[in-house]
Amino acid sequence: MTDYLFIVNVGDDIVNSIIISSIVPNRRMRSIERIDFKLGVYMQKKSSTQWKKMDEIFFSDSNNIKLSSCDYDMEVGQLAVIIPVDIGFELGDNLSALPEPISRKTDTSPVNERAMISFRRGNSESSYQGEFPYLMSKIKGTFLAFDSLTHNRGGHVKNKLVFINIFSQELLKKESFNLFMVNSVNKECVKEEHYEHNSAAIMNFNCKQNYQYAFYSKDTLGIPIFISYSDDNSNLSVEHTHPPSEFFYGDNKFSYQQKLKSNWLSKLP
Amino acid sequence: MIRKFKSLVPKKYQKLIANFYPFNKSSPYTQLMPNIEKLNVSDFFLFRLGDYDTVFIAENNLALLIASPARCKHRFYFFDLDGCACGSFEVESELFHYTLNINKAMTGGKLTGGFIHQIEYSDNLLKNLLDDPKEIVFQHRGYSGYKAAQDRSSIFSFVHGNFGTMYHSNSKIFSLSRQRVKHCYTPQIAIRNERLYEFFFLNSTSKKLIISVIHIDKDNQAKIDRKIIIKPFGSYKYELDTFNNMEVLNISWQSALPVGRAVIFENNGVLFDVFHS
Repeated sequence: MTDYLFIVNVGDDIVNSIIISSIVPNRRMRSIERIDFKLGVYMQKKSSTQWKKMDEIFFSDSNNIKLSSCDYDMEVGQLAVIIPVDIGFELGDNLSALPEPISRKTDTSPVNERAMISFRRGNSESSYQGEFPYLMSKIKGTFLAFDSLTHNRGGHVKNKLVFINIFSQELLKKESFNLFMVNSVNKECVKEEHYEHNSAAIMNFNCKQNYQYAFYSKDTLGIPIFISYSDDNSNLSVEHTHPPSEFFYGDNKFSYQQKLKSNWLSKLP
Repeated sequence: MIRKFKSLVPKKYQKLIANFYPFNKSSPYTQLMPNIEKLNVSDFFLFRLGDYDTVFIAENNLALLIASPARCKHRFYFFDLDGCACGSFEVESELFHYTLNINKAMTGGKLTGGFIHQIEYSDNLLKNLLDDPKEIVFQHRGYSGYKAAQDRSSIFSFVHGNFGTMYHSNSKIFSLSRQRVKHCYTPQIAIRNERLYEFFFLNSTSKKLIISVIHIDKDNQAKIDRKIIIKPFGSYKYELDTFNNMEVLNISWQSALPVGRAVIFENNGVLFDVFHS
């Protein structure tokens, strides 16, 4: 299991950064503690199916690399995919498919190969340790998430769902997709947002007190990041929701995830 | 080598051998499931009161599975820093999510510690809604939100559940989490100057947990800063003050947990950020 990383322009003066370390995140004591790798940075224009290399970055003397959305000329909703690759791997300038990321593991310790993903607006900053799994980037899938992270409600609070979609395989044409917000109880659509392959759908939304909501796409899978912030930059909160498989434990967790998704998606418009 | 040997074993025996050394060296949980009716397991969450407020978003797993409200009893069990039970709280709800505002009455007056979430549905409801209620094990991963108590804003900073598989049965607490061989965990953070870092380690296993915290400096020299002992189901706060110590660039810790994560608060004196390592 290997992982991509990403930075995205989510608009509204919010800067997205990642920090990645050359030290292996989780290992047994006898395993080696660091591996040699470099980072390739690729972006895709809204209308194009080609990936363009924007950067190739080495650790040089430092343990850590920091990359920010403000370092690149990115439109709102545009993604830069960060690919850890072997130090000797030749990164092409223009690609139709993204290379598989290198494994940053040195044993079988069960941890995804993450980076710190942070968002800053003014003086407020919030982070989580995240990634975009390579396996997810090879399949079409569907998406369903709930409003667990929209607790922060009220007049001065602004909420954003940033829905990250990376498809690493070759695309013949760029399709347009829809992300929906619905009332969880009566299943009526509240809001709709369009997005393309290899972009982030940015949905700004308001939540009414005592209402429950769900978010879904029948077109692609993706990773949902919920951002809440106050107008005056005094507070910012960022976190991603668990995938529905995490509601279950044991051998049957993925079959119950399928049932859950099927129960919801069959009722949703 | 071990992976190759495992692939040669018939699939039906793979789960069994995964419980034994050396196949279980990095396995965070036991593969042997307890034979308990309505088993549901929970991550081990952190509460902070006093200088902080804590909320918890509890999921109603059955309602989410069937895409329709379902009545349940949420139960929350709280533990102090030494892992002793210090309070509990229960509430009925049919919502998809229930928001718990944690207070000192629930935690027996304790300001810091861990807690778990359990859920109960009536037999009739489970029989009516599920083909085989005995087959399903719900997992509570939830979301904990924190904010400074003096902050008038309504915005909490959230972290998702991380690790635990704990459960309550016959008035006792159990866990499927296991300690194995020693692992070293390094969060992907660059330690910044002029910050107060608070690392909260929670022990979700039923055995004493030993953690060695390691500082890595700008010359890549690693040095053990402290050895911590945490009682079963207990918690510990480790502080790193970079207002006074500006030498540390990265931090790691050794423990017998295959996934030894922490909840990290980073405070610059005015604002704080919280995240899982």
